[in-house]
Amino acid sequence: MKRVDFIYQKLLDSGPDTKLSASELAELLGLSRANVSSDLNRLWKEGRIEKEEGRPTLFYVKQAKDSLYLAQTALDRLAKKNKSLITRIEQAKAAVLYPPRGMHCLILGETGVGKSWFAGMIHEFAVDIGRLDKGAPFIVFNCADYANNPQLLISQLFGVKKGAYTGAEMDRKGLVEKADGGILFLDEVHRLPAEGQEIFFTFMDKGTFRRVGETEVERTAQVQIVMATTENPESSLLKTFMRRIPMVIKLPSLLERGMEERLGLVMEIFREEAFRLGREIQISASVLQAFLCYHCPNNIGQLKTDIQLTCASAYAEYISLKKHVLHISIQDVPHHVKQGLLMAKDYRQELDELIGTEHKCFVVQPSEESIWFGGEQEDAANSVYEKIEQKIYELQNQGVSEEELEFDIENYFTTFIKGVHQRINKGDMARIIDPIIIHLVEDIVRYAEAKLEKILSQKVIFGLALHIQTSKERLSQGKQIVHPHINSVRLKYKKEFAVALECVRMIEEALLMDLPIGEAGYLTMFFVLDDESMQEERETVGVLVITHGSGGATAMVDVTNRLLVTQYARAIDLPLEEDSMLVLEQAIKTARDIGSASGLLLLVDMGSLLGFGEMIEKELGIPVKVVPMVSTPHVIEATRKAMLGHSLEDVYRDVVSISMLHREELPKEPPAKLSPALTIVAACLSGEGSALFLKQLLESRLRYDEKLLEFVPLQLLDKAQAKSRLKKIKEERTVLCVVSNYMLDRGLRCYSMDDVMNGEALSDIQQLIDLEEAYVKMKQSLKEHLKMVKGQDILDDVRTCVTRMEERLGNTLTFDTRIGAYLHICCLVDRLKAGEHSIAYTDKAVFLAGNRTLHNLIRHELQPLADKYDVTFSEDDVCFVMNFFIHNKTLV
Amino acid sequence: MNILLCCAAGMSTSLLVQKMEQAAREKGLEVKIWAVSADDVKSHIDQAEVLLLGPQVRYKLAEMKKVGEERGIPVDVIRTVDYGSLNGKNVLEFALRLKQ
Repeated sequence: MKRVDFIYQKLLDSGPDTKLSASELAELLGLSRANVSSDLNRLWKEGRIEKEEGRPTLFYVKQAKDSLYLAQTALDRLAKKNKSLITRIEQAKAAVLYPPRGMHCLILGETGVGKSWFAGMIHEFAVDIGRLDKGAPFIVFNCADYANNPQLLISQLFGVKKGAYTGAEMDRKGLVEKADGGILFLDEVHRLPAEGQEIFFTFMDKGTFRRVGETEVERTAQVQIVMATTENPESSLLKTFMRRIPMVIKLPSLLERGMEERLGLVMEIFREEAFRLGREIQISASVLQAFLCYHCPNNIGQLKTDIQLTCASAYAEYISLKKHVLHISIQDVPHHVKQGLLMAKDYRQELDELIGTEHKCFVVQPSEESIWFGGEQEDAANSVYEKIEQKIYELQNQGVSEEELEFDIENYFTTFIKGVHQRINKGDMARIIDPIIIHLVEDIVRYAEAKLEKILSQKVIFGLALHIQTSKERLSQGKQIVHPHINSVRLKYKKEFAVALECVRMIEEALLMDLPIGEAGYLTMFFVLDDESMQEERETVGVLVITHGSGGATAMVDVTNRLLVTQYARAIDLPLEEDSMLVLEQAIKTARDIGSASGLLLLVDMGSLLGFGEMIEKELGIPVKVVPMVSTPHVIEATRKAMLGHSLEDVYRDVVSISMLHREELPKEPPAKLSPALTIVAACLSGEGSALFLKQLLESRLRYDEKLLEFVPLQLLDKAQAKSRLKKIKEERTVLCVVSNYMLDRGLRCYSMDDVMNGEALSDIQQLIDLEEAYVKMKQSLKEHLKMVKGQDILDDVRTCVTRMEERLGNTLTFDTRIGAYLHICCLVDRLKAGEHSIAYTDKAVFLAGNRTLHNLIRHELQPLADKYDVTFSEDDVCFVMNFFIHNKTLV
Repeated sequence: MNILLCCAAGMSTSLLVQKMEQAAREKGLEVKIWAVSADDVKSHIDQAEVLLLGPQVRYKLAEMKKVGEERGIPVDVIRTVDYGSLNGKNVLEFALRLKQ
């Protein structure tokens, strides 16, 4: 035993809460006081013993936590700091305490909200209160790891009997057995393949299972199961789970946690970083504001990454410039976080209350709980923007090292930042744009940002560079730039126009050429459009759902928002016992948030709620329409239409008509498509500059058939016009995707210019093209070759059918498999129709026994085809179709 | 020249066979082309000079390659786009190139 442990043991033996000084202990143990004293301090630092300051200092071991009620558990501490988690924590506690062995529970939540971490907390709590033994296992299993190999998954979970299959050379325990007496955490449970589910359900219901290959013994294990998923709980797969899981804990997204908790989280993460770096960190107020307000779709996980990246960037500077303090200024923050400052103005009041207006910077210590406010009052002149300027100037003076630093940090952190941190760096730009222009645009942006007191987004900066590049080329060829609405632009956006004029002068100087006045009009639009795209979102119709009973409205809105990946629709539940007047107040409050001049659509179920519309209309003076029936499809349709910017009347009419159209599919003839049938739209301000450039780039970089696909440039100057033009194109042809920096149509896939330029989007687009082209050609071939059915119709039907299978299975077929599946099923129907016999599937019985769930589902989804074409699919036929889904992805 | 095609059930590939035969006729080539399911490949491969797999059975490639190598027969997967668009001409050329 080491000396330090020896001392600890002695202190422990002398009984809890018996206080001893260093010299007393030294005497008891016959050791030197200095040694004992240093060991005691070490123990105290490790948190194993307590210290009572005084002369002499006394040390003691705290009462061990062995009672249910005594200890303040980690979960309690968590609840104190995070009010939004209180109900969830109570749920978790209930799940653990439920007699006799706890309750299975399912944790829902978006990516990055901390589901795995929460599961860990549940285990910790169960141990803390003594419901589980100290060494009780906490086994983590990610279902996605084995989703493509159900057999392996089952053997991982339940173990294998020796000789069950080739390679099973000895008996092996599964995770369920290993988790006996503890908790088994199944992450991404929606990826649990159909084959695994049934066995798993038996285990959940009865607590019994068999190892793979075992028939005689039935084993038991006492395991509390905690599952987690990001999926929508209404999806068919999860529904079967939901029936068996009494406790569903939904963790809130970062947005739902609110500003105050977000501040706590941000500070906590900075503190961790300070601890890691071993020094205090100073954070300027604007950095804090940016982190509190920026759009952070991947929640706490992303927040953490972004803060780590920021600290790393500041740290690199701190080291390389030998600064005295590690100070984080807005320059160190990734660009997408910086954009939080643009949003900060919407939260001004809340921010002021939380972090005050008088503090210039905040100091985080490696260990301290509290935050220190540092610095003197911020004077008005020292605005955010001037600081940025100053910072850029500083960096510029460092010359080349800036780029190098950025490169290194980015490389180092790619694992953290994959998928989250997207910015185009100078390297990418330089490949396609003249370095002189890059410099010039940097100057322009700096100037415009300072003058206009706003930060321009990355897409504007990139678009600007591209625009100037193409303008220059056009002018040097003697072509003129004519801005059609220059006068109205000048009058409408005076300030921006003035800035643009100055920018034109800068361009003329840098490029040594004369520019026409129209150029200023274009530049103005760049500065203005950035704002407009944000404001425009707010001018859409709000969607609010209110229903009786607890949770109904919330559930529908949840599903909608998840499916459409938005926070657009809002819900209020009216529990039966609650006074409807209270709910009215709440509704008015929400309506004030989301309603706009365009109006508000209210979806309600019955009773007094029907009258709410009128009352809200009176109170807020905005048009309100009430849809007196509500179901999830209603909410989805309403939200989708509203987000697309349809008027209140339109949205209302469409939603109401759903109920009439229900199940009654109108056979409508699709309008004749123009040739070529496929198109990709590239949009830019002039429709002649960047759009043409993009068109050429795509034409040269992509493989496609000119008879089938055409690139169409689109002028964006007048957005309403651009939208209606795009609508017309959509009617005439199939639009594969749009390349534009402005969202024109949410229903279409849209790639930003920078993604296309730096090549990221190209492979995606190529796939789209390949699939659609193959599809069009397949249609033609089938038309010629199928004997019994019409090639063009059957392919569309098969496509719908396969898509539904993919949705229900949560298994998207790869390009290869999908093409194969389409063709296979088309031929199959044709053969059956011709009365030819089915082809036998080898080992059908074994195959079916192992894949019963999949079989049921596929057979079910094939039924519409069977009905329409009046054929009967044999078991063999179904087996072949199942095969596509089983072997999907294993091919790559 | 004998070309063997293989897909899950030998069903969709038979369409491609027709297209390939048509392409061969246009070229004035004497070929025998036929399609079988993956399970039946073993009993047909001895008559073949080239074996082509449908993209949806790409997962069998390694296994089939082994079978092919033993007999000195080239094996490969048909390009998905050619397969999907039933481009008999391209697939025929692909087979001829493999054989060279």
